[in-house]
Amino acid sequence: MARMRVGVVLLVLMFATAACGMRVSAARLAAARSGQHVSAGAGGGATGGDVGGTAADVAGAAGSSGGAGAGTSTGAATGGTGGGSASNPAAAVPSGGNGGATDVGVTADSITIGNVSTLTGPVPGIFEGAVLGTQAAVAYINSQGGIYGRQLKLIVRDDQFDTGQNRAATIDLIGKTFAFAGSFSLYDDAALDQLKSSNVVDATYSLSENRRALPNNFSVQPGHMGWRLGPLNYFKNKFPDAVTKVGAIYGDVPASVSSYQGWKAAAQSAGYKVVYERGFSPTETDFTADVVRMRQAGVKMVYLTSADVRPTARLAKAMAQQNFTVDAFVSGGVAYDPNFLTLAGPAGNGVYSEQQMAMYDGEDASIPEVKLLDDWSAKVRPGYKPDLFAVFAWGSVRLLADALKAAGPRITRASVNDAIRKLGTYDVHGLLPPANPGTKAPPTCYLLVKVNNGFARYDSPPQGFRCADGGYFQVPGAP
Amino acid sequence: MTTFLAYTIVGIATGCIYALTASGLVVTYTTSGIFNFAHGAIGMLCAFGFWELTVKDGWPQWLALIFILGVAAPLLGFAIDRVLMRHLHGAAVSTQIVVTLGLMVAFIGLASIRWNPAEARVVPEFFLGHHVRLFTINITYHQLTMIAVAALVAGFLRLLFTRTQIGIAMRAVVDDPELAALTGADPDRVRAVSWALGASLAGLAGILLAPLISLDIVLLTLLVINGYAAAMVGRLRSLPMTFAGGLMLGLAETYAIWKLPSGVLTKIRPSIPIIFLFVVLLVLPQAKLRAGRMVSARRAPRVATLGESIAGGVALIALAAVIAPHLSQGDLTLAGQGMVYALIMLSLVLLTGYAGQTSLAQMTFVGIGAFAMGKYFGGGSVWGIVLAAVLAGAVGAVAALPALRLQGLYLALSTLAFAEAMSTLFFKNTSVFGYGGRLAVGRPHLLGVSFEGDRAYFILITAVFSLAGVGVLALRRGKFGRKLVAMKDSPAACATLGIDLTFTKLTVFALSAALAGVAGVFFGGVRGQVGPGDFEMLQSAVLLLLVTISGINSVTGALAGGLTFGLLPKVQQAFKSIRSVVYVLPGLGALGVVRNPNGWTSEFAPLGARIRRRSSRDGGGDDVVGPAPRREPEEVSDPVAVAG
Repeated sequence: MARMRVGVVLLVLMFATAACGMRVSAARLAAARSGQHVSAGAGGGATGGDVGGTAADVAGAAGSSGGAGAGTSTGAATGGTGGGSASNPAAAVPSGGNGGATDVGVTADSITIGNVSTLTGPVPGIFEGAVLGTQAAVAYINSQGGIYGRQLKLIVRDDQFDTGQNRAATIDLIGKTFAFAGSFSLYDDAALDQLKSSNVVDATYSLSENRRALPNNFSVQPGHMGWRLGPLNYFKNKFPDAVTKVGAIYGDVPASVSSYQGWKAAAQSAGYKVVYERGFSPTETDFTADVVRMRQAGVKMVYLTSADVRPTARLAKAMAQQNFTVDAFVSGGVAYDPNFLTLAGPAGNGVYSEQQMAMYDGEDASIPEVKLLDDWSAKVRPGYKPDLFAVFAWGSVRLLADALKAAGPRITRASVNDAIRKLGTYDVHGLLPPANPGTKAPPTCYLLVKVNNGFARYDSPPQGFRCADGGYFQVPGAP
Repeated sequence: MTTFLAYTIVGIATGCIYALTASGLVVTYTTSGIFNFAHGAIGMLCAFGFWELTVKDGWPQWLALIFILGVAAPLLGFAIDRVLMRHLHGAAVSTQIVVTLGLMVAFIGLASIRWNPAEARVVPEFFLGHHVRLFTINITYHQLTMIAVAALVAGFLRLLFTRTQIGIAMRAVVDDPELAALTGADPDRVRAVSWALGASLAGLAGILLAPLISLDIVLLTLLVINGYAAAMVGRLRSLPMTFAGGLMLGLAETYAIWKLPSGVLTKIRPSIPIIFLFVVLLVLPQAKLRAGRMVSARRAPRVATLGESIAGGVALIALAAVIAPHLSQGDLTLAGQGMVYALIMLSLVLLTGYAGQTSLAQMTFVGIGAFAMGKYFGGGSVWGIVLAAVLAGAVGAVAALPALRLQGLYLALSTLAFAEAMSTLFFKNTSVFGYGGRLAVGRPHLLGVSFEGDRAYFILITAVFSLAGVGVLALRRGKFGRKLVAMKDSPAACATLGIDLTFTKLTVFALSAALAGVAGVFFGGVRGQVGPGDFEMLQSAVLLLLVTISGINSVTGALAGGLTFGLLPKVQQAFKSIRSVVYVLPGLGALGVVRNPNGWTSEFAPLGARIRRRSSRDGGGDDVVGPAPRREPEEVSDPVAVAG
């Protein structure tokens, strides 16, 4: 599921500046939120955006607390170096040494990684969670002694919602860092050629199809134009009549449209029949007419694949106001967002969220990795609860760290890239369903969340992921 | 029949949203003569204030309503009038547009600082939980309230303006404040009351809309754009017609959902308000479309000579070459983008600064240029630049067709509609920017030289700007340039003298669009790729705002505006803890336009004059420039000769 969260954005982006524009980007985020591939794009202009100075060298470490906000924070380092522990035999410097400065951004006692995220601009802080998640993971790994005697150092850059700034920051960091991890930006494909030619290790959950296609990009949740068949088959078995009378609403911007087309092709392959569909613009305020028409068309299932929290909440309220009930109202991943619960109120009850990650806001704290994520996020910023972007950022750093361990002490970009390719299926220690970052095989497992009395709860399975319902449908010929 | 009635009910409810937002707009325009682009932003602030009082502080709804609409909003309107609007009476339409746009941007920025946009907030509906059923449709009491309020506001205001002394005085002050004063009215007081009333109406709309669409800073601010069409039905004067226009718009949108097939519906539905606006602008009788004011130049312009402009251009290129090696990667990108923005603003100098034609579609032409280069030449060919200029120029000429019969505010709104239509129908079409909505635009190879590197590219953009600046100044000095200025000063006089206004307008629109198209090539090149969101109408508005702040009638102003725009992110970096500072600053900068419509660069004009005088003692030049004028944008000499 992926790319979820982020409400707002809409037009803003317009100023783009100005960045701004907001429209496209908003829906791009929505598409992202739905968990589908989102190709690059759109977005309003930017405010220009500087790169250089936002950087903050961060050496997260054990017991760090501190950490300031948005992207510039530093985790107060205390953690020990070297040493290692019983649980982390790869922490200590091996007897023959670790090779010292084996590649760009590597020294005998540190590995520098970069993160380029959107932190300011038309929608300030939209990807702040990505930086906090990255900082939390870096701090945790350093608290475990680091990797072969090296601590992770983090440099964060803010692209200010601007293509040019993302490009400049990425190129700049390619020359300073060993790897990228945890970045989130709508313009993360601005320096594709440089990323590819440098062979930098790119553990980034990219919102751009072009970056995801790079041989050295490794996502903890790869995706292609298409959709997971598991939830489609699940609903088909549960509501065989309803899937032949589906109403679909999606954001009418290129990225969301692409996402919707992927879903529609997959749904049709599974026997779904869409009897009403419409793309909406960001300034639409009322879906009552859609509700009337869906009722006329006999719609029994409503599927929103690329809609953000606010329009989804508005549609839910319009349906409730008109007493229009369906067998299933499925919302991509929106229903797990606390903002949706706030905005939709009682109208949100019964809405499904099909998602591909554990319930990271505490419900799945019995999963050790979820607890680690929550605990270390709170250490980086007291009181902070991780969001979707924090989850992927955390997972990306964990993927990188596991590959660094697997590659051995004398690391090069090439050796770590190879190590990731050889990892096979990877699930971030239970935080995400298994996928294969090396072969870019998307995950097929998922879980269903359903809103009940104002709270998002497991619907199926009772815990963990459903994995046997179907594979992944990739649109033929699509990237 | 029941189905028809059901959709009709829904359409009326939607239409009342437009009617309510448009009514406040019309009231402000009717009573102040200023089309207030910040109207939605005022409503947004009031809605957030209402939330703050009711949800956060626990005030009763009725008490908060009275406080916001009876105290806070009128005070805000009063303050806006005192600080800004009363100084705009008689100002050029472009100045009025820019100042209200600046206010809107500033309000958005301030609201973002006060209220985190990522946080969800809910304003409860009035009479929550109550509804009535009409023709199979459940209508909430809140929606009924909106319908009733919209109708009552239209009726009440009509009575106010036609039957009461203060209402008549409000209209009189707009038409002729001096004459109104002779009849005993106090223009200042009347204007203050008008703005207080307008702000209250904006607040009323914001508070009623917030429960339906949630508290969203941008959405609440920009929703009013859809109401422009309704306002135009009433020709910005008639409130009952505005109300009717809102209903027509709401019904059109709803019936579209009812009757159109899904594929067509998705394409057409978002464009309905803009198509509506465009049609209304074209259908209304020309004689009644006189919203703009004639602006007369107060002195003959002094334009840099060919020698001065070439020297300035060479100096600028040399300066770029000197500083480029010392800039970081990020700063080079910023500087490159700044120069591209300067190039785009140069096209506005030609169109708005010289010819007096306001455009809110300049980024559309930039997009056409980027599309031409990226789609057909990838970026490497000089022919891509030629195609970008030709294609953008042709589209510019098409966009200019309404300009042949429109002027002032109406012309600006027609370009706004054009930009929106292009955004929806062209840029967002997946066949235009391809899969995912991104199009790669490379950097040109010229004369066998590669400009792939950021430093070389920055210098190239600077050179292109300098060349364009020299060209624009040459054009300004020539016969065509004099025609432009004459047309700006008095179209009627031009027609009397036999100047072909149609040809002149079409030509300057096409030239300006072509220049913007060329800028689009470099816009794409400096960013590496472009997408639909880069070319939104509001981006054009922000560019117009920035270049007006720095000086829209000079090449120097374009250069300063572009670089300011490009460097704004640096400001954000310096004030990381202040959210949206990059919006607040330009917004506040617009306040300076009230004091000096020629922009801040004109403040240096006396300095430039002194330098020239000094050099003239040696070389014999003349061209004395007086102090910067206070009021209308007019031709003043540039402080920096280059420049222009």
